[in-house]
Amino acid sequence: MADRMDEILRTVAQEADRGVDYAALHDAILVAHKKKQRTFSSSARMLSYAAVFVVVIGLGALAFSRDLLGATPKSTEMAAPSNEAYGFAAAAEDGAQAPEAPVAMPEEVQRSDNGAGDAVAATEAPMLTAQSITGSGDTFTLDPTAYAAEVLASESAVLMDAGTLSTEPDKSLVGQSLCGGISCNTSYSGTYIEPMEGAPALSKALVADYGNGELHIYWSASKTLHVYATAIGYTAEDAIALLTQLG
Amino acid sequence: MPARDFESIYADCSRLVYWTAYGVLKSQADAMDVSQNVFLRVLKHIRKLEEMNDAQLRGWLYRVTVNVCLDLKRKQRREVITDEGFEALPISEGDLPEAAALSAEQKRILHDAIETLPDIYRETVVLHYFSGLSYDEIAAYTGVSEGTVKSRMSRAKDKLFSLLKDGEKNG
Repeated sequence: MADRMDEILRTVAQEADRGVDYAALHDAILVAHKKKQRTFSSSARMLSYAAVFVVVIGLGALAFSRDLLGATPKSTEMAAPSNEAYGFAAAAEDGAQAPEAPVAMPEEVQRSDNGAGDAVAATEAPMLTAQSITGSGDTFTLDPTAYAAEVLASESAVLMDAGTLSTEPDKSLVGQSLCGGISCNTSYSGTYIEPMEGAPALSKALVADYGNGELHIYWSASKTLHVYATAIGYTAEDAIALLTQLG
Repeated sequence: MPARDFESIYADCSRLVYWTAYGVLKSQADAMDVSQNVFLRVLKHIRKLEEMNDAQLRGWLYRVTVNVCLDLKRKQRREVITDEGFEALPISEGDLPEAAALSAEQKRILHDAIETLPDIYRETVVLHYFSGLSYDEIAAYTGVSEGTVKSRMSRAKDKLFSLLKDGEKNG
């Protein structure tokens, strides 16, 4: 029985196997393989395109951001003090309100008409000596050499004819002046000195009385020398008291 | 080591792959699909397979085929569950028009009887007669001893003989 069944099974298996189309299966496998390869290559191509696109976008964004960063210092340079000094002078002549003044002056402004453009001229100026200080007896010392450049700049920018001083005080200009402005002095009239809110702390001050009603106050804040002028009616003592209070 | 490429692998092992798949799935169409997937994997791993000997290659193909079949069966089980709502009417085998014709042919009855065998018997019969594997190869691939394979084969023949006799009586 077993031999007969074995023979029957072999016969059935062979007939069944002959019915299988192995050639068609082979072709179907190769077609599916090529299709899979095409799909893979197209996917890889799309991925590479996407990667290139991302890189290009990234580089573009980087370049754009660098342009923006590069443009910011340029705009800052446009507002540099060297250019503002001339603007302040012109505005002062017109009587307009001067903006917050820079702390340093360009070389062109530092040179005065009489040729006092060096440090020697600055140290020889009478208002910078301790003996010129008048008032309550407090002594304010100032090392002229330490602030030579600033003194020179202040002198050139501030010295003015007392006759040009107006009689109407301008609080805003005074406040700006105390905050570090120097060119605004040309339009300030005098009896009005008051600190502006948020004014810088004063470490040293020097008051120079010219005797012609013009009082110059020099104070140092953050190693910058500032000049202030007042008209008749305001004593050096008052100025020193004010500076002491500020300091 | 013999030089081997896809064509030689296909010529030597296509019968093994197809009938192994058929033994698991009991469907010619599914066996064809599984065979295609298995040989696509052969193409994918052709470099690794080229270095194998015949026994390793056939063992690898058998395992991959069975795994692909099991994946397909799991997928079909899910699909059947999904389609249950569309096939609410029960259909008995006696209602099928082919039932009368099947009873007329002895070989056909035997072929159908093979499909009704329990999995372990059907697997043994198909691997030996249809895939052409020896008992020791079947033992190696299925993870049982050669004696177990012979025992399963003997019981499968007894079962098929009784089924064949019943079919002849019914026919």
